[in-house]
Amino acid sequence: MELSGRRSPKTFFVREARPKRLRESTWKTFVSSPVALLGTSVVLLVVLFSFVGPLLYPTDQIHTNLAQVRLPPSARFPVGTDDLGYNVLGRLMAGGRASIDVGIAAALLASAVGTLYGAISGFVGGAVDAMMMRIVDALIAVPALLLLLLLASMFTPTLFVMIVAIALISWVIPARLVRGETMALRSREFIEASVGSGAGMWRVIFKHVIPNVAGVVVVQATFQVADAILLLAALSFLGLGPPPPATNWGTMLNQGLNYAYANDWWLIYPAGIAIIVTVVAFNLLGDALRDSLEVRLQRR
Amino acid sequence: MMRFLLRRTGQAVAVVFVVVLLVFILAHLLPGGPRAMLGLQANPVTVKQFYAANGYNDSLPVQFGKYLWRLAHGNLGFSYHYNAGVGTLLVQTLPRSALLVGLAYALGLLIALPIGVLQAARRGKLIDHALTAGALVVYSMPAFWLGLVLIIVFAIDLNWFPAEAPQGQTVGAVLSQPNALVLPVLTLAAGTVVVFSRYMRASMLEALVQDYIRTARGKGIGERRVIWRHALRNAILPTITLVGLSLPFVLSGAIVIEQLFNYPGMGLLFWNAATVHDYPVLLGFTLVVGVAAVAGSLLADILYGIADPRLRVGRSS
Repeated sequence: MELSGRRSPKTFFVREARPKRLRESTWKTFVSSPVALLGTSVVLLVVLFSFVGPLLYPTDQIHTNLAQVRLPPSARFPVGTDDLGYNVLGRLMAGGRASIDVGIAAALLASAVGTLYGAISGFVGGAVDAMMMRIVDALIAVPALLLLLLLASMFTPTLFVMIVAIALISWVIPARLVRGETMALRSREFIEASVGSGAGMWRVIFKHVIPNVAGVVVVQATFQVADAILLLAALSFLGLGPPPPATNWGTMLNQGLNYAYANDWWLIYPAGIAIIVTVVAFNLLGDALRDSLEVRLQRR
Repeated sequence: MMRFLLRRTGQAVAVVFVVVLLVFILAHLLPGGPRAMLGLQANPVTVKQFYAANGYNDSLPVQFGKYLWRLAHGNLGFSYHYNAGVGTLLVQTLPRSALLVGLAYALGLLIALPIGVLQAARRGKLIDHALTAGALVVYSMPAFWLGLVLIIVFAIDLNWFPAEAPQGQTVGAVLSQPNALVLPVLTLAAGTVVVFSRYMRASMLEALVQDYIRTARGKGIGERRVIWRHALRNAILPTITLVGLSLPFVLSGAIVIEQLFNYPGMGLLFWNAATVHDYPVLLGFTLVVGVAAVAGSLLADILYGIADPRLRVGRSS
């Protein structure tokens, strides 16, 4: 056993044992799974809501309007207005865009860096591998939120800084994963043949290792989108997220907290539920992807 | 076994070294350099003295050496904001956080164990799926939002419990207000229930297919006894180990909870430090938690090796 990662016990709806025909395609497995269907459609709905929503339902998310502060839901404002007079429904869309932007960008960056790092470490092996892995262990030892708070305190946490900071913290998980896969691949014949016929490290990594670990990485990246959205929300709730006029669901809750005693429920429930629904959907999608992608990998 | 212990300890020492190096590098990446540790208003004379006293004018390797030397003497830095040593601040707040986390852990385990066992025993049935779905929702729920909802329902609407955690300075004083502890402990426990029940379920499923379970059933022992005695005893060990491993991560969950309920523990200290850019506290805290995590996992590995005779030999792989 080693320093356990941040998300170990985290399979929720993975089909545990099932007969699988040899030629059953990844795509077919994915499409036939109700978990995949639910996850994909909710993710699509959230993305539509956040990115297409503002086009169909344009609201002013830039100018404050003190004439319409904290109005309860009505025909004019379906989810009410907040303490600065923003339309909360429009705010949810804007917040969703930021949350999803950060989540996906951070997960992509972390996966790219982690895959490359893990592949090199696993391929080279020996002392270099040991050294590279101790760096990973050290970064995993420090809890993510702690490092993120520290980084947010050091640098102005714009969306771009947030993406880089979250990626900086989370690349270690795919790195360790890919390193393990690469070690296993190294001893297989097609890689040995490739090395034997004179292929260099980069060629082997890009031609053979990366295509073979892609499934694992994609699954992990999906979970990391969910994690990144939660991290961003926690940081913003603590008041150290991207400064105004930027917003996200965590920032909205940070503002709503001040009116908990005033019973302004529309400032607290919608944003929280938006986070939960989105994170659940990405987690389900990850479970379904693992189901269809990794089974194929294990069958080799 | 001996070789494994040596190798594992060597690794842990290397990881601790990297954690220290990481914190050292972060101190130099501070906006404006290490002088940021004195705050924005520090005058040039103070900065000069600070740099001379801490050797920040030397070459980087020498600085790192001096930094290690200070750490070896238990000097974690000095907080200009609190006008106190970082070590002192940590010692003051640690017992309060340990109390909150300890209570949440105990409660979380108490709830999670039966849930995990029940799910494993009823694997694939409706109750299993329902509990899994519930776990997924709680897992995906920000802890601060759950805390907020609990405050609204139980503190504001029903007025059963106070919305603020106990403010007592000592553990005894905190415990004298059990009412005020209910909401923060519940919020923190919710997250641990999810994690532990998932571990417990997986661990039980593994135990239930072992040969000794078939033997027990074959001997005619009732299903209830097979599950709660034979399987549980074997399934609980890995779960307990993982509980130890996840402690530092709960500390980071405590940041959010302590801030929400204004509970004066390490988490609140860290959050305050982040908002006022009190870098010595931030860096010292990060270092301590990182090292504690490494030490904890090493300890867990060693205990695990001792507790499980099957692992005493041949674990050098």
